[in-house]
Amino acid sequence: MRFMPHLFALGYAVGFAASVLGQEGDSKAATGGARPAQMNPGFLGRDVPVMDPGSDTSTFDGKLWNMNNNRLFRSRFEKYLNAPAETSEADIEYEKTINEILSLLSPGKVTTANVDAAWKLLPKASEYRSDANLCASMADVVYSVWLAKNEVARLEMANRTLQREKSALEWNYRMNLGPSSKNMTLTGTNSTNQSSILSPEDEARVEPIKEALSDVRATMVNNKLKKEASIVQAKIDFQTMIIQYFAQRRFRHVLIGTRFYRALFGDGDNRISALDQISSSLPVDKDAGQVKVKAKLDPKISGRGGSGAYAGAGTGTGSNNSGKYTGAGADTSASGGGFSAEGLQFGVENLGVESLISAGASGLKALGKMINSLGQLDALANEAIRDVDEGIESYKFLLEKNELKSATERLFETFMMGEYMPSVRKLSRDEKRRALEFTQKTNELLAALEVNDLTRAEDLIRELSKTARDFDTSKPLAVVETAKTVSAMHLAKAKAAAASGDKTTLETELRSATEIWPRNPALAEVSGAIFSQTDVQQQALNDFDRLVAQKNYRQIFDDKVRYIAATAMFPDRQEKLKVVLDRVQSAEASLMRSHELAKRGDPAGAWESVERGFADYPDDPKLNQARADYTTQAAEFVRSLRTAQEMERKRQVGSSLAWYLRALQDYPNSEIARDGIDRISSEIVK
Amino acid sequence: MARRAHQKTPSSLLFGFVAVFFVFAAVGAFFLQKGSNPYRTVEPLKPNDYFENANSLRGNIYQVEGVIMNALAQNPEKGRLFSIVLTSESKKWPMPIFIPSKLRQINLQKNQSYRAKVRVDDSGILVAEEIQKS
Repeated sequence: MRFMPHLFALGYAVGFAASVLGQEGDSKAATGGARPAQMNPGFLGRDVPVMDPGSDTSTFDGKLWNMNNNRLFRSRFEKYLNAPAETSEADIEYEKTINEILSLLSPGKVTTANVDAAWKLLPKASEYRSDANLCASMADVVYSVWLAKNEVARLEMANRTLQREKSALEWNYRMNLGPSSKNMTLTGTNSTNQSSILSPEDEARVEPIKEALSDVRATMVNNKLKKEASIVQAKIDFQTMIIQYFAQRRFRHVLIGTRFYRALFGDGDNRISALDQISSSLPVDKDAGQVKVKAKLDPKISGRGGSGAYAGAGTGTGSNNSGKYTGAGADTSASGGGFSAEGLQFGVENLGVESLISAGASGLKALGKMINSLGQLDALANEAIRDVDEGIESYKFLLEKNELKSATERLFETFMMGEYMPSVRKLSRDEKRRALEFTQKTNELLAALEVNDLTRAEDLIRELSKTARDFDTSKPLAVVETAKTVSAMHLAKAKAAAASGDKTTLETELRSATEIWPRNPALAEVSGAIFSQTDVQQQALNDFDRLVAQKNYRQIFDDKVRYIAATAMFPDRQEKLKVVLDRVQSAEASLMRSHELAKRGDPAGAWESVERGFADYPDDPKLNQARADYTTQAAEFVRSLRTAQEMERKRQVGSSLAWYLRALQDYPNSEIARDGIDRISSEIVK
Repeated sequence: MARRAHQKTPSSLLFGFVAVFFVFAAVGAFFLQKGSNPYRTVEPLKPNDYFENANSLRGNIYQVEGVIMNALAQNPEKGRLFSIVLTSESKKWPMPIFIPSKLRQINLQKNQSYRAKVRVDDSGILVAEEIQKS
């Protein structure tokens, strides 16, 4: 687990090396570019990861991720920010020991005694907690080198002894050959040519000598090979350790290591062969092929005059025998400008473990070509130490100026570069706390923007702008304000949809408003109002249907405002309501007219007025009451008229007409009687 | 001369003359009566019965006498419909009366009294068969 951050750190260190070599530009805004993903699907949609180097953020599948804000980096950085300054006596003593080792091994001072002294200090340095026993590991490796060197010396000594033995054996060999064969003795020390014409006596005599000589020669060759292999292995082990320290950003240990290396291997060969060794040891399968990134652009661009916008993206995955393929298609169109473009596809082909190992081996080879000597590592370590010290100075200065954003960024970069450097470790807790608070708040801001908690985001932006003078509020505030405006627009549309009874649009708009700003205070308010309005409307509609079924039109008329509002969006009910209101209004008019006539002493006229309203609305209690009252007041007329109507119903035309005439005689202004007379008369003369 | 005693008019003769006079008066009155109501043999219509159920009187012939009130409707081919007010038992009974086109020569004036011989038709309407001023 401890190794994982170091892998990231290795990447960071390599990035640093590249920046030293290529002077990479500095990044700027950290959170300014953050925006809710659903608001800006982007040119390639949301399925393609997009990195914004300007804000150190990447977007994938609708998620916004600050590259500096991840579990590994954040926990490590926050642990550092909360750790006390390493200014204890032990820390000072450790610092002193390391400096002493570096001094003993510095160029110009390298002697056997100094190397031994430096080596003796390594176990002492490793006793301190800050060292993490790295010096002990280095002492072990140095000791291994010495052992290897002793082995080489022993082998050389053995070879010298063997050489002497070989010379003796060669002498014996020549002496034991017969006279005829003496002229055909060996011509060189390494030659195995011998006379093929030996007497049987000579053959028997020199055979043991030949075997012994052959063994000696083979042993010598083996010793020579062992000697070379031992030295090479010792070098590779040492280089691996130095590279490991470099990856761990233990730059002073790198310096100690390179100096020890130069002292131990005084042959001037400073080439780094460890990377090549590692890459060649990887199980590369040449048949696996290479990972290929494919892109295909088939643009279809068209102009459009109307408005409206659509943006979408589609992805597809597939596989074939050689690996996997993923493809993404994007379709975007812009509104207002009348422009749309589509037809971009890209994907990765032949992605597999073997191809990735092959790619890793190639990368290591390339790295080995880029950093191929210990001198380069030494220079990079020195440059890193300088850069870290400068970063801390820069942090302190920015902190004084209250420019927390830049200060925090510099501290983070410096921490990532030189986590174990004394200048970094000696920063006081108070100095680090301000960066910690700013980091926590920016991380909170990113989280708030990611989940579209705009209220919290706005509060955080304001807080950050107060604590950090250089915090650029324009981008995050613009994001927040835009999201709020869009949410408000969706809510307005939802309200309109609710008013028009368009449930589909209502749901869609409410969902959109919720997605953009889930904790929008107006959301609950508007939703409540809409749903309570819906409840009230539904209740009113239920009441209306019930009253219509009961023919209680008077109740509907008395509460007509409620029912007019409730039925506004229901044409069928609206038509019913119109009929009801017309009927009741007609009844009301009849009642008013009857009251007037009754006041003038015309009870027959009043009755007739009520009777006309009654025909339209026979169930109205008010009309019934008035009708009963006036019936008693104009009893004779009413009886004549009712008898006439009854006779007419029974098809007694003569009697009916006579009764109508009598009713007219009783009340000459009677319209009912006159209508009846006209009706029957017309029928008679027809 | 002997005075002849005044000869007195016999009382029986006087009674005879008076009786003859009354006889003539009665005969004259009888004839005069006969000339003013030509439908005296026809039964008068009882308005109450008509109002109760005209259909029950269908086919019957009655004489009616009343005042023409209003023209209700007319058809040149079929005739005219009027309302006529009969007086019976001190009450006024307005009733419809149809004057067929065959009686078109008679001018019926509003508020004038007419006597008519009527038949109750199938629909219960009084249809005048004869009519004259009374």
